[in-house]
Amino acid sequence: MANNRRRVVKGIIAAASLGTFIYGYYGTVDKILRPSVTIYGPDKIDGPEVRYVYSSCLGCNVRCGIRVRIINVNGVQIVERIEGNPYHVYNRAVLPEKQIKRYNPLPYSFSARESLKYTGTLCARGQDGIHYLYDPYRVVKPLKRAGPRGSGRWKTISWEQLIDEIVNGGVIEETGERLPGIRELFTYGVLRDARFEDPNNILSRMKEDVNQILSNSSHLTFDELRKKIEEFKSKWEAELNTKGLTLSDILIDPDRPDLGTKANQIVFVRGRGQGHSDDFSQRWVAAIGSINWLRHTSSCQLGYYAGNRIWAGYTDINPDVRGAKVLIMAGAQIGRLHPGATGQGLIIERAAEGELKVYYVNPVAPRGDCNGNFIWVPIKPGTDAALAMAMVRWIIENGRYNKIFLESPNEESAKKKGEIVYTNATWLVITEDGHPRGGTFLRASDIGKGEKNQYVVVYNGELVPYDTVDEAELFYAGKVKLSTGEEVEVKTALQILKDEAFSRSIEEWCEICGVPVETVVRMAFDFTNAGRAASTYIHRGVGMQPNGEYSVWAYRTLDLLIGNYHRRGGLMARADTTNYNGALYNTGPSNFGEPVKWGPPIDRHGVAYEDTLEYWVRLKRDGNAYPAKRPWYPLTPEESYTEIFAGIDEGYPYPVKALFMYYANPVLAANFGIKFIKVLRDTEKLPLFVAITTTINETFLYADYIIPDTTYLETGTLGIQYLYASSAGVRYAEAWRVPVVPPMTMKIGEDPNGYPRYSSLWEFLIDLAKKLGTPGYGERSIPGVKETRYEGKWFPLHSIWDYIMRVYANGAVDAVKKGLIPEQVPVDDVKFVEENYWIARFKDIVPSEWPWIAYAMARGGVFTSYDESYDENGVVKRKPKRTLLEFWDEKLAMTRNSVTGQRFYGGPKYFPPATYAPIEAKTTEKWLQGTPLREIWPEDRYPFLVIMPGSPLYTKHRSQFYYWMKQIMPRNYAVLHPRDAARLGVDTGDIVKIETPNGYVETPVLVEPTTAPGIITIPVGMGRWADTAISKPEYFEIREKELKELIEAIPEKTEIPEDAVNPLKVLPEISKKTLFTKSNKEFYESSLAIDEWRFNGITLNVIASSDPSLKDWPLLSWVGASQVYFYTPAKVTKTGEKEKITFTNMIW
Amino acid sequence: MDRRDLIKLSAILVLTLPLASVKAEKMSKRYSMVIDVTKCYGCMACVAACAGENNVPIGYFRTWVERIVKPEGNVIFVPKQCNHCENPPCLPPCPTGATYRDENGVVLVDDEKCIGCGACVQACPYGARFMNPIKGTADKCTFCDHRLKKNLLPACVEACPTGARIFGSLTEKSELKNIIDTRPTQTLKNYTNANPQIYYINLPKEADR
Amino acid sequence: MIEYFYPNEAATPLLWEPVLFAYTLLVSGADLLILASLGYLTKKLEKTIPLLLILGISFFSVVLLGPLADLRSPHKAPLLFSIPHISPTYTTPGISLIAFQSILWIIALILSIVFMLLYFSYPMYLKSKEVERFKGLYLAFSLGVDSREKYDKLSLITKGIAIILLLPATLWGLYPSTLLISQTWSFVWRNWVMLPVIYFADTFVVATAIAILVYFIWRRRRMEAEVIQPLLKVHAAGSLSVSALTALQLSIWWFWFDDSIIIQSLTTITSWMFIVIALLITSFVLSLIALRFLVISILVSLVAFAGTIANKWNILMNSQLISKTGMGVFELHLPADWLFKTASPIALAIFLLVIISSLFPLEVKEVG
Repeated sequence: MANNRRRVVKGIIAAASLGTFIYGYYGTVDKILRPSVTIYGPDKIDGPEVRYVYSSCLGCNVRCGIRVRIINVNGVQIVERIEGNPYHVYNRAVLPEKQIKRYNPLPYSFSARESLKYTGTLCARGQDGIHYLYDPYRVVKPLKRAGPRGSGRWKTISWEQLIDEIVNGGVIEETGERLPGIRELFTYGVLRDARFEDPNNILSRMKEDVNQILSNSSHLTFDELRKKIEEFKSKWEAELNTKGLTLSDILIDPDRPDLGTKANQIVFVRGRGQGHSDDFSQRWVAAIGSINWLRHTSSCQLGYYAGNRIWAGYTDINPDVRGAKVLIMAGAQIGRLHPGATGQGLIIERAAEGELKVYYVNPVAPRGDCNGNFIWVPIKPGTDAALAMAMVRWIIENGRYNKIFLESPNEESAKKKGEIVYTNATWLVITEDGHPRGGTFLRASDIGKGEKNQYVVVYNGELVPYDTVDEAELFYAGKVKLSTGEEVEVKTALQILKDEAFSRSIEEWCEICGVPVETVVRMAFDFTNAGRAASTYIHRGVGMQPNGEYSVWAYRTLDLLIGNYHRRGGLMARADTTNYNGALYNTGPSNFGEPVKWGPPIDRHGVAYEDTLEYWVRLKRDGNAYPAKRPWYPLTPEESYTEIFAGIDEGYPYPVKALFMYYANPVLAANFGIKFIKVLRDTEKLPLFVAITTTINETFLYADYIIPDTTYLETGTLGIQYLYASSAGVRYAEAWRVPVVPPMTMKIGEDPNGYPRYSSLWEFLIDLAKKLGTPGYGERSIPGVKETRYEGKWFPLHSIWDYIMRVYANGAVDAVKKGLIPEQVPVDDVKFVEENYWIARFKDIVPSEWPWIAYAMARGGVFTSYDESYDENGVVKRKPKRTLLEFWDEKLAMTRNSVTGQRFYGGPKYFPPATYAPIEAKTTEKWLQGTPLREIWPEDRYPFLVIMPGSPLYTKHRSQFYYWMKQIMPRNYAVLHPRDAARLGVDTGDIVKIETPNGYVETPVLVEPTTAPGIITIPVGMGRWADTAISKPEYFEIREKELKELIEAIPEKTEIPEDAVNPLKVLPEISKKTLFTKSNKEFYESSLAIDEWRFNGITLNVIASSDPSLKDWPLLSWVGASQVYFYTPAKVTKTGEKEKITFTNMIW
Repeated sequence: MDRRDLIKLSAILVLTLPLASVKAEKMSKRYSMVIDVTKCYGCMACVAACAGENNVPIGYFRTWVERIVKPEGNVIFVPKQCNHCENPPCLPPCPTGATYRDENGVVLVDDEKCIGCGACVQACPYGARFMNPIKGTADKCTFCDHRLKKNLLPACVEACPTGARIFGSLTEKSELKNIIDTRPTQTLKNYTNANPQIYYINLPKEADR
Repeated sequence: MIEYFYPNEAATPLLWEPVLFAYTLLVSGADLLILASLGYLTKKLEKTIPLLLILGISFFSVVLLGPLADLRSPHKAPLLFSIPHISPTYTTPGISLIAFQSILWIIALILSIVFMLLYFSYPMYLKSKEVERFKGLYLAFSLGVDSREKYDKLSLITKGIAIILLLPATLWGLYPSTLLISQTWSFVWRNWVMLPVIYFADTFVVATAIAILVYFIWRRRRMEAEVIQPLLKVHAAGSLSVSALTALQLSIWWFWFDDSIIIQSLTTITSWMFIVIALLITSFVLSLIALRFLVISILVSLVAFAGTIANKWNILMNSQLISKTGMGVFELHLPADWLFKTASPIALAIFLLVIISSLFPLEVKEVG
């Protein structure tokens, strides 16, 4: 019996063990029989299926060159690798025999095919354009919302239906809403359809009448003014009635004719536009007849632009970093500011080689120390002018300024000394307090010594017209009797600067900005000890503050004091470019028969309140026209997000009917951009909202229609890119962007030449214009340029190819004229382009210019060498933008604050950051209009300031798909100085609550001494919640009730047809696996699965500063209307929770 | 006793099986790289270039950059990667001889022969190897030998905006040889006596780990 | 603690999964074969040789299944034998212990099978006499040894084979610790200077523990002191030396790293070492008691199993979670199916044990 039982037990054990083995080992057997691994090597480098294309990068706005390697994988063209362009002045060439001191690009004449042996350097984001192109969240088909605005529900519609509904209006079937079309806003078309032969004749005469009223309104009484307006209305009512139209069909508001035609109610806003998507969209807005072509510049660098335009008459000025010996790099990020992470490599290498010393004035530590030649100067945000004034004082006290340069009062005297620019340092300014002429320059006619247009200077103690002497007193203050008998105080412009600088001791200035005195003295000494090869290299940290323009100007006085403008190592504007819009074909945004237009833009930039009818009517009626409903910004050169949306919200200066937005994300890009959602959701204030984009972001979540756009590696932002200051200090430089692979968006048809058309910004604007019948589109669209062989001829515009090939033709022909491209182009270069470039198939559009176009395309642009760009005494061979550089600006001194009606101070000066207008308590300081922010949010309640600096790893908020960077830095955090962390009792990994006046953000902390004490640094680039897929944000909460609800109303997920997204289906399996190894399959295979990397981290913008004096819209700078990013008061409290930040992720 | 000497002590004490390595017949190029730490500002161009050129899976690194924060706040970046050692500890353990060094001293992996056992990954003192989840084989920096064959430079050297990475031969006249002959350089974890061939300029003490 | 580790380590904290060490986790090396050979050569442990031999072969034959399951490209595994890296050249210097040991495995397995066949040849002949069913089978396995004299003459050859078998079996007893300490740069393994000795001593603890367990299950109340006592003695010696050596290693580390950050990284390792020492000391004491009260031996083997598994897990798994830099510790994340995957080679060994033991008897009476 026992035997039997033993055999049963044995049987059970045998079966059990065999079963376990099979169950446990099956996986391995399967892996042996059906291996799931695939061997792959590095990409092919040459061979029939490999091709190379030179183009320009858009990883950020710097426009470096790229060389893209495309491999044909069974019929599909796959971008395998992106390298730098060795011809481009930013990338600079690297040769096996020349790897050290990589300062020079290849000579421009170098053979294209040979250049493949060498490469240019290129930053990480440039390399990772591949994840930009192959983004599973990309939209590929036109969409229309299938639910209330912001519901996240979409349905695909045909291209024809899209165009038709936007022009003629459409219905949202799911909600029954009726969306208005833009046909009746196209005033030119309304006139034409009413059979007026020449609509522009009507419009130009009407515009003439409006100008008449405006120019006379200053000396009319209120009744006379009202009568004038009535006359205008009845005159035009009559003429329009002859064809059955009324004045309200044409004008926005017949009682305010200066607001312009109804076309202005169509607003086009572009975010990250670049060469030729800008010119083309500007041309389209002109064709519609609207004044509102607006950019994102306030969220980019408008304070820096506005500040420069005041003293130099040009927006973009920065140093030649190739020739400089000393740089004061203030408020500028390593690896971000032009020339960008790639171009700045030159700065780092020169510093490490001991050729350059950089003072890095920034609350955030520099990256690397370049043998001690990169000196960190931590500073309190918003106090840069104090630092500048301390240096100005030291320079004047020690007489280390360029006396000879400053003494020339006019251009001729400067030229005699070999100078190319001059300053108004010696001109006398009326500084009498309260005098109506206060702030203006004394004129020779004021003292009976000359004409009205002659400024006055002091020569041997005597007041003389400025153009009668070769040098004049630099410092002078005294009284002068005017011909009117009044006695007024006058000072030279430099004297005013001196008085401002000497108004505090150097110690007091240092107290304000937190920089030690000896550092300031050393900086000032080094700055003035490098001849003219020293300059200030400044950007957003300085300009994007309430006092931004004044701070920019304060720094730039240092450059004026040593006279480095337009010289090797000194300040420069942008490189000259070819005449790419007007050499042969007029591809520019004007005179192609576009409608006449007038009126202020919705964000009231570049227009003075005092030049509007509203101002004169209120002045004449009530005796005072202030405050205006929203501020006007006459001195800012470009647009502001805050005032676009505040304008739409308050219908001021007029209501908006249709908003077209392209490649932008104001809700996330602006400080406290969350407030814009209030406008975007409101179908009354914003009846039609159309978005042209690659993905549906936090702003486009509220669009009515989505038009899929292409990336820069397809046809996105195609064309010729000028380079920003100083454009590597060369004479000519422009990068050409050509399509690298055919677009991955939906094909919408072919143009009459049979060329393919794909859904993108270009084709959308063309088809919209053709549907409306605007001038400049269809058969007779692009005029030939006068005095060229195409004068009088007209060319068709049916697809992007008709336009862009003619742009290249302009560039190429002009480059030949300028001797940059040889008459006889080497045949091999043309063959190189025809073999490698997809765009070569459209060469028949411009056959005669094609060889030169190919020459430039084969090199990724037109470039000149650094050494040939200077004359013998180191002056750059460019034409200076304006030869007068200012220590005092009369126009600024005459400009008034739209709320207080007071004049602005007309010179460089330190102001504490403050609101635009005063809040209850009057301001403490003379010339300061608003209330200091630290009085509203004092240090004891908000002890910290929070800033969000850029880095070479992320480009603002549009870089969350760069997985080669995400694997290095998956999320961001708040960086806290160890002293602050100790006081708060927090350590790395603790989760804290950062509370600002507008709400709070919860984030883990990284405790490091790389941020100044009292300053919390949040590296930029994350905190997204909508990018076609949606992942509701939990890391922040807004204080204001209505906005809080809007955030809660963000839908849980997107409902979108699967075939409308994800162009990745073409990719071979290996590419998907290597590009998205860490992501789950659904993310890149099919539907919109959430990939954690796309939505993690935080952004400060959601709770950044707003202006309590202007109904809490995002805070702007007073003069330039630039978003204030770097002054967000906050307090920090511990939450007690923790999140592990491992060592390898403490990289930012 | 400083921690570093202790590890050295243990290395010598250890019972090592015969690591006989036969002398090379013809040492032609002995490729090597200089990394000038003073010129690295952590822009990660080299990491992205390497990933792009060699299709390195996300989350794995043939080269990476370390970030060291000094007490007074300034930041030093130190690129690291396979050192293509002259006496590579990663070669002996390989059961099939899949990983080898070519005549120019470049340490490579023959994917056809690699059975994916991971012994070489364990054997690399510098953490420069990993198991490629897609290929099922060991993966490491190859100095872009597929580019060297076409006398192109490695991708990371070309991408570096500041010239922090210089590549070349130790035996032939080159910028690299010039640097090594004229300037003080350092190598990583010398106690491994692997004789690493990446030469650093200004390698901070904290990074020698 | 300034944490520092290499990014590739963070990508795969646990490079070698438990399945790789499935065999050595539980049984560790050809310990049973060593005991069987020594027993046969020295005439000690006479009665337990069949048990040790069958157990040894059934466990030793599955050795490479663990590593095979852990290979990222198992379909290329045959290359291990077709192009083994056992001769150093300039391009592939050194000798691969993995290849070397794999080849040794083939040799050892063949030798142990021949040893078994020879050993059981005469008993098979006797068995073929007694029984009707499978008479032909038993006769075949008797290899024609039908008389005591032939068997004794044969024993010369079996002894030779036993001696040759000792070499590969011993090397396997030292493996994979030799690999861990000399051909990796894991911080813990390279600094675990006593590892080979600890590991080798551990083989005897495990071998005896398994033999005792199987014998206990097989004979339960009717255990013979003559069979069990030698096993207990060897076991006592083994467990005492393993715990002593582990304690020695602990003190070396304290002496070397005292309060530095390194010792913080090693906390998991060192705390597990205390457990191992405690368990094996208990097993040592129990085995002494068991000499008197045989029934305790079941406890001895169970405690020994706990001790050796903890020891091996600490050596093979916990060590991998310490970074090569010595300044970083990773959390253990095991793939979902790890337990069954790890158990599967052992399950196969048990299955082989049942099959072989149903052919060859676990106990052979008259053969002295």
